[in-house]
Amino acid sequence: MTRGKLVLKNLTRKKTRFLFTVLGISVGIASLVTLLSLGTGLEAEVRKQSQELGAELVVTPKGWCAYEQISVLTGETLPEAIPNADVEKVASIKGITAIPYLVQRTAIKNQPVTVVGILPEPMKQFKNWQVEKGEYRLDRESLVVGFSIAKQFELKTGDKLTIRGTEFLLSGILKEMGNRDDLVIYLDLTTAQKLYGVGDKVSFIAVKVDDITRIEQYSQEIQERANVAVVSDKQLIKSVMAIVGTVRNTLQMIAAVAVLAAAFGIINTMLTAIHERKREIGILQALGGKRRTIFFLFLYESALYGIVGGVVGLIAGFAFSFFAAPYIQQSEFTAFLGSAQTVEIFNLAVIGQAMLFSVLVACLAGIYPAWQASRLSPVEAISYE
Amino acid sequence: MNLQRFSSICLIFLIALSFATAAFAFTAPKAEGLDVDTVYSDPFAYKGEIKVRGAVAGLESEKNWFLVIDYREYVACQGTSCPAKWITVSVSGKLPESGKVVEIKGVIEKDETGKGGFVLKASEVKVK
Amino acid sequence: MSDMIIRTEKLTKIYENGYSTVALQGVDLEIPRGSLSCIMGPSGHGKSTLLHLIGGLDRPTSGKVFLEDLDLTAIDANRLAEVRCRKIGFVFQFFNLLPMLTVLENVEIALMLAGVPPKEQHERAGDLLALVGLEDKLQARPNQLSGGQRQRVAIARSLANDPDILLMDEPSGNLDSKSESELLQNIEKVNERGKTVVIVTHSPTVSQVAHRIYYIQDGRLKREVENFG
Repeated sequence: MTRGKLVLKNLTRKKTRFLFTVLGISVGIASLVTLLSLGTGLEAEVRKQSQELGAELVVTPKGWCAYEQISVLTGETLPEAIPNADVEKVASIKGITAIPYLVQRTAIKNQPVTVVGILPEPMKQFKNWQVEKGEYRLDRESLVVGFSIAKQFELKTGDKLTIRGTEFLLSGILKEMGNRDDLVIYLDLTTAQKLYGVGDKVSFIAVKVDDITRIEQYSQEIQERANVAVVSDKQLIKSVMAIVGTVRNTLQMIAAVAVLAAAFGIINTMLTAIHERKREIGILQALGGKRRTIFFLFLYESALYGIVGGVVGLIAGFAFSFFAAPYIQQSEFTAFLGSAQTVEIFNLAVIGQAMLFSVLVACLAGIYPAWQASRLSPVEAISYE
Repeated sequence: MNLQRFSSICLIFLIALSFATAAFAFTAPKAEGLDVDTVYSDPFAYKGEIKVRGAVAGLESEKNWFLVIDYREYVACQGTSCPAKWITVSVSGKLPESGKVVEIKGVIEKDETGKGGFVLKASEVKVK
Repeated sequence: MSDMIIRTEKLTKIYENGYSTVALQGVDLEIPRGSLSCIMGPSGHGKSTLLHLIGGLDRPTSGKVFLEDLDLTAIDANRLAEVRCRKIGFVFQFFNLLPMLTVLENVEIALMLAGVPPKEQHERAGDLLALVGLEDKLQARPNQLSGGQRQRVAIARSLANDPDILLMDEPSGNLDSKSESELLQNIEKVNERGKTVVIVTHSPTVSQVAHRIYYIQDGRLKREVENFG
């Protein structure tokens, strides 16, 4: 006989009650898992894309909303609002590399394609691009394209592309980068500015800093010098989360209520069990069971509710996230972030957090009943009919 | 015991209910098609009939025109007030109501009076 | 070391349940080591209370209980549990077996509480049940046993940690006469192994095997009789 065996035998004596109590905590944990997993896939995606951008800071026009901030990562069209004067001010700061982007759209065969206006040489160095075919020439007449876009539309060097009514020569195709860069048409910045009629403005500036520890100072300096806003990749992730935030808030409420209710369910179940097993507690005490022993026997019982409920909740939560999440998230937003699957199933951090939380809640809920059990006087318990 | 079972059932029911309402609260009408901001950037790159989705932001009934804004911005802002870009749509039939999500089939035509120098001449407007 | 294994000094227990009930009043008692004693008297006159106080299941309102030289009234709940575990075995009228456990497990649990490792628990519990003649019922549940068999399980359990003292509260109260005589045989067997046995009983048959009989009436020790059988 071991304590574990005893706890297990006690736990499964009243099967219906066990089931309902487990169900209670499972629902709580399931909503928690859903809540946590809704974030993870999205967060991972944003993180990946901001890494692809290769910048620690993004300089944007003032007053951009979360939607626009995220669009930096996704290649959506952006309001062009940073004038060249500001670009130069930012670029003149020592210790940083500033790469301006003008993000626009065109279409090939009626399919939307992203066009980015860049400074050819700095960009090539910044991204460490290599040319797959042709040559790297961007000017008033020529442009280069990413690897995937060339493949998708069967483009060859020497082809003509029409953008906003102007014909360009496809001078080069870049080597595959394995990211969003492969899906873009690159134009010389000034040419693009003229083409899209945006004056001397750009959409945003990607900033790479030499000393990552001074990122805050750089951010401040940029904002002092130019009339712009600066967001870090962390803030970008926050912005994405803000968009799915409404869903998360509701889920958070549900999770909180469900977990709280489940905790009361456990307390209720345990108190009932203790009432029913008063006599048995007395026997254990007569046999020499210490208060501590009785306390932990009952606490383990609650904890086990947490473990079983946690496992069931995890499975249910992942299932729910997998099947229902695409519907409850504002999928238009998450979809255009690139990955169709916005829920990461079997995320270890989520599993760890949910299990820990489940067991913790169950243990907390079990403390009072277990304490009650351990305080019973042996005679009182034994004489109880 | 009975009270306990009863309360457990109530609890599960309540939670199920809240899940259901949560799921419903976030379903904006779905729409498919090209996005307004995308088309606006280079409208003449689109040849022939295209399908555009958006939210109706304004009506010009004397010209039988209406204005659509980007669907995603509409969802994000939960309204039609924020965007700076829109497409002018000309229709032959009835105009849709303002604030509705629509799917428009039509062709891009040059027209200097339209925003950005073009209009989307609609052959079909589906209100979602 | 004194020859008296159990000694009480002016033991008094008053229950406060809105009104005061005097269960025991100034009981001075000495029980010799290795003896077989009975506590007798009318129902509700404090016999069981006395047994509970001796066994450290309850605390007196005043007075002292000594187990060898240890004052049970002066130690905390954990030490008291330790004493119950190592020094005292209990047998109750209603057997008090744990219904969800098998016969074997009911004995094992007492060993578990004393910190005996599972493998050793298994062996010792088997031996003890063989001693009371239940070696073929190890996997049975308490509700599958007769009253006599259940009582034998309870005795085997009470002996699990090789206690010096065995305290029995109306052990034959729920048994037929055949089971009762079996019980007495088992009690004598245990006593012959050097255990001090104290039995609270109404039964004259049981009292016949006792070396000493203490009569309790109105919470007081009325008489103490030596019985030479």
